[in-house]
Amino acid sequence: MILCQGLFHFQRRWLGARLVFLILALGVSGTIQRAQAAYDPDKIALKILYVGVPGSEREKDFLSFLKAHFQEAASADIGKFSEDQANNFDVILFDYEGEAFKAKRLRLSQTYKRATVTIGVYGALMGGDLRLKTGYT
Amino acid sequence: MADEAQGEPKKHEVFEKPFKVQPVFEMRSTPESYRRYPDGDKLPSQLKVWKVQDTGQPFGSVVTHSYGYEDSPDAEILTPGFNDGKESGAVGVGRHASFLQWGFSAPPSKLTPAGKNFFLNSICYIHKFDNAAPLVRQEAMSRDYVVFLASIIPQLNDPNEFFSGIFAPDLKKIYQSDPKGFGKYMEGYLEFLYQDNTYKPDLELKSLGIPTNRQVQTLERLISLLEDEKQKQLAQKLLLRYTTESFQTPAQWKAWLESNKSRLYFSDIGGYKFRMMPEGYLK
Repeated sequence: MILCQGLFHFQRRWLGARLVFLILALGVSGTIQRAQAAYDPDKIALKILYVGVPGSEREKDFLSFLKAHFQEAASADIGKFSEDQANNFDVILFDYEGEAFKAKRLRLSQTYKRATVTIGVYGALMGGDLRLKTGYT
Repeated sequence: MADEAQGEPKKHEVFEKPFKVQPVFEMRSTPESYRRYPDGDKLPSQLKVWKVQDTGQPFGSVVTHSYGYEDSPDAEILTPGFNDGKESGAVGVGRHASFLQWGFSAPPSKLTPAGKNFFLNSICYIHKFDNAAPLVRQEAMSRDYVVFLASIIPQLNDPNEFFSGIFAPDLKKIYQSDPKGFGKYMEGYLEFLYQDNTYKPDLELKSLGIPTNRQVQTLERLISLLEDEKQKQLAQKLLLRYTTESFQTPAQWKAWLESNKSRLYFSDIGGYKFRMMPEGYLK
């Protein structure tokens, strides 16, 4: 009986761990457009995550530039961004294409403190939401 | 903000590494809007600028007011942006804690060679601040900006709004007696301005003969006044006003100041208080 209970708990933990992995795989990695490139000693040894509007010309422009200069550059959708997505990157860029004042804004938590570049009007509005000095005033 | 950063780049690694930023300078007429701000009348007729991007549009990018930007050690102005809405010196690119705001709007293909290097360097530079939390967040407007607002009230349709939300209501009489002089009046109290729901001069501090509310010597003087029977109550009140501490005895205040003096800074933006940076913060 004790053995059965032990097995049951083990199975539950194992299934739970698989479920967590599946959720992470779908919910996090699945939304990042990432292509692993071979190490290039001529590029800056940083991994960059560009968070913007997927499929836009602007995203393509940024990604092409970032990939040319940094060891790794990937993109994510600013409309669906979750802070966990920053985990495997060194610097996160937040950008928006379109009318920033009318856009639904990404709200980062007050505990978010990753190395971040916010860009343009949208970036200044994000800074304002976080009551940072970089914010729109 | 237009396509240009304003002035010569400061001596800073963000203009040096990993890529040397080599601006191509041009001269531009000083925007009329700059003249509206304090000391705007002293600016020359032309200003030195350098293009960061090449969109050909005089707008679309963004600057942040420079007032109080560097009053805490977690923030720095990297370059002012040439603009026609805010003051000369308003921030085009700046950093607060782990956030770097790049106020220029163009995608990389429209950056100039100097702009590309500056952008790449900015990304590398902010990486050094990964996981650096802000020491302060915006709690108040800086005193320079408050004085500016005081000076423009006469141009507004509804001054009452300012006296219900920004300036202490008892300042309204002073404004009404000389609307155009109100900015100068507030400027005269620059070293005593503080925020207590609204902005006002600290006449209590001034009555003690202390010349400013934002120097560490102010704390030293207030703590010494705790030993003065006549002034000790007011001194204690002011120590509570300007610090985040709540000690009750002169010995506690003294010990606290002696241990932490080198780490204290005063931030208007952080709520008109002396705050303490963490040990080793500036290394």
